[in-house]
Amino acid sequence: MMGFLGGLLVVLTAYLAGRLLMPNRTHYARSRYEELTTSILLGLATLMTAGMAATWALGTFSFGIATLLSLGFAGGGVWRIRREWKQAVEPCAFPVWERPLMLSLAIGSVAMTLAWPLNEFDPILHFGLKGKLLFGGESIRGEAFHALTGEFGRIMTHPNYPLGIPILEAWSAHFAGEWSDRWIQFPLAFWAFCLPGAVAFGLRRFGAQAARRGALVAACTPILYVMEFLHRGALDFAEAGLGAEKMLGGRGDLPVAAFVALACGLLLRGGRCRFLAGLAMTAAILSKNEGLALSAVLLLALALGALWNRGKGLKEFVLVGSAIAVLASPWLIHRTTLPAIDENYTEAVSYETVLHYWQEDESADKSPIPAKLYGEEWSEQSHWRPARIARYFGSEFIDVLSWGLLWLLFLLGIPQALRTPEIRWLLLFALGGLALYALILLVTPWFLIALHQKGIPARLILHLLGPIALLCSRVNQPKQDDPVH
Amino acid sequence: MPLLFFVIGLSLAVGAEFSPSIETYPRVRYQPRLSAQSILGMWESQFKQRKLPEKRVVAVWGLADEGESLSENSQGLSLARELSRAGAHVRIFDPRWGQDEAGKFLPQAEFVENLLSACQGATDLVVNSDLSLFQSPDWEKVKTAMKGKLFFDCMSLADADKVRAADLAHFPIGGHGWPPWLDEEYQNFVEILLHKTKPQDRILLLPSSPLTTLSPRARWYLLLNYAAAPRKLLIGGPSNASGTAPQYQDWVRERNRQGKLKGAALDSILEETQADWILWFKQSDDFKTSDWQLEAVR
Repeated sequence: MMGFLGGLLVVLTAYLAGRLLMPNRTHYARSRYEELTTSILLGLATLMTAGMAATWALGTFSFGIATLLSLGFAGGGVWRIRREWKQAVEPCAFPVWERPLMLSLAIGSVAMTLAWPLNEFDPILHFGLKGKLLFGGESIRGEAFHALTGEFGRIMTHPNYPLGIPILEAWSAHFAGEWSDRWIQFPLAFWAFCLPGAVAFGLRRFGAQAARRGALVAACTPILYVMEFLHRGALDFAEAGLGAEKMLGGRGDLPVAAFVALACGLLLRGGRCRFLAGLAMTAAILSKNEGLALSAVLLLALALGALWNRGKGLKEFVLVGSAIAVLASPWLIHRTTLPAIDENYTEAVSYETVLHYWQEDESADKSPIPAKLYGEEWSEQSHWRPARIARYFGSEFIDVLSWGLLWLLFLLGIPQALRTPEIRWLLLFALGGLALYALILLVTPWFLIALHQKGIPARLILHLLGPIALLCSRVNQPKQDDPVH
Repeated sequence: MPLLFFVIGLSLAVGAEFSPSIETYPRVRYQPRLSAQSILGMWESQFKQRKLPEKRVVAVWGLADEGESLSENSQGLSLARELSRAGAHVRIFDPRWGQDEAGKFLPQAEFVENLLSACQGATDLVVNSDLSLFQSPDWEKVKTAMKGKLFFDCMSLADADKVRAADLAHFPIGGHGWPPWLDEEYQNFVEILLHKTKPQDRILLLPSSPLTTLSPRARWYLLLNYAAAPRKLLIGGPSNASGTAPQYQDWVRERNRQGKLKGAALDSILEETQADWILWFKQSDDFKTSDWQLEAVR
């Protein structure tokens, strides 16, 4: 019971923190659904960023820090709500018959996350362990996080993974007074619920219909919840939610997707939201290392978009870039001190490595099991990595069980996106993100087939769900309906 | 589709009272072709290509599961066919079907009348069906009848201890359908560990015998490290021990090269790590409490 209350309190704090930061209703129109979902995401981003800064400054993430930060954010949020109490919100964008669908998806995703305690390798060992250590009072500068390179030392998988998710887990545990493998997931149960709302908030600028369509496209994409469900037929029925194909829970990919969607949505709204987009990208950086690479791609897309539009949009680049530089610095500085025992893509992405894999076939040296055991995937297909990567991406794009019609809509929308100056950066970001992940897979030090079997290409491309849903819904709009700022 | 996933997934969770256990997971329905490739790969890695499939005599127990009818696509039959096609001599025993019924699907195979006849002079044994008859035979007699000692357990239903006691090399290639942290013996051991040690204790993990498997599932120390936190678990070669599957395999080789720590070397490590306990372990992908011994240092 205490675990439940602790988690609930963190989500409430996140909502209030988000409400504190949300721009006012008068200038940034939104429905209650859009406000609730965007506020929760923005609030979770705030808790992660503030929690990381405080932990970096003090070395540990204590109950005192969690309480002090919560009181500050909650107090500010309550003040803001009281001030805006009488300001009107836009009516809900969904017709009555669509509301039960959206409500079921929202409730279903939260319930499904909390239905099981932590029950997968990555959530337990990559994130949960770090959260448990923070809850136990371990210093982030101490041996628990650092003593992995000597002859004898501590055990930690992916020691250079960011601490945003562990901080949220430890936050819940502090409020509950205990570590519960189920309830520390409470703040992590809202990614799939909030992502479509953030998309709708961004598209509200182009009218209620665009917002509605964006939310529906995002919410109805199966991979937001589960990957390749029914791919194995009856076995998937018997194992629904038990296997690693579930996206919900304590993993890092869904939060990255949610924060990237939030950042793009906020950028579409412009004005004060542009700084908040920097906060959202910081939270993506704090969720998983890929968030850092995606931030670089976003900044590049904004810069190129501005050049294309003869300088219009340069402010976005400067504001987002500055916000990330300031807010993410505690983590980025701390990260330089952490051992990179198994994942160091900053070193892996080099001209020599790219050239090597471009010119030569992949060998089976890095295969964790005899490569022959991968069957046809190894024996009957080309070992040239670029061809294999293209095949993996291609099979994702046509995988309706995971992506619905998202990629088809994206493809159809590209010509119009090229003609629409205000969203060119979004197209550049989506294409740049795909190129980034192709590059990462090209230089990965691990055996590509083994990564594929862990669902790696799909899990990476998931990060781009938000921008793609935004783009599809914007370009496939019949006409601009009742646009607002 | 997401709604369907929620309905089925939540029903499953309600049925299991929101707490996963081994029983929550359906038994793995293995893929015959992949299993055959596992067996071929194992021969290749074990014998460095010297013993070709043509030199193997494979005893196959069972062609399909309990209650299933025999067809060309029955999983046990398909696996036997793959091995036969690779060149192995396949000798089959299934109490339900013999040469008359199954011979048309497996023209090269030999059909026999009982378990032990199938094993006579066999280099390998493959159990392919969940019939209770195949789960607890007299493993000593099986080993005596066989010429080789490789036992590929596609069902993962045999008692690993009894199989090992009979000196058979057990390869549960059907895999476990459930994650290792649900293993009951592991969970009981965690309780013991938490009860015996204090939260601030430092526990040094040391292998008590050479490490015998490269199976990533044998990394029980990763799970213990999470379950026992904030207790501080320490291990030799932490970087590779914490790394990915290929790094873990390097770690196994490294540890085996170094051998068992004892005497002054052990004292020095204990001094250096300030350990309160040593947790001696034998490595296995099946968690056995008897493989783990906690010894107080001070």
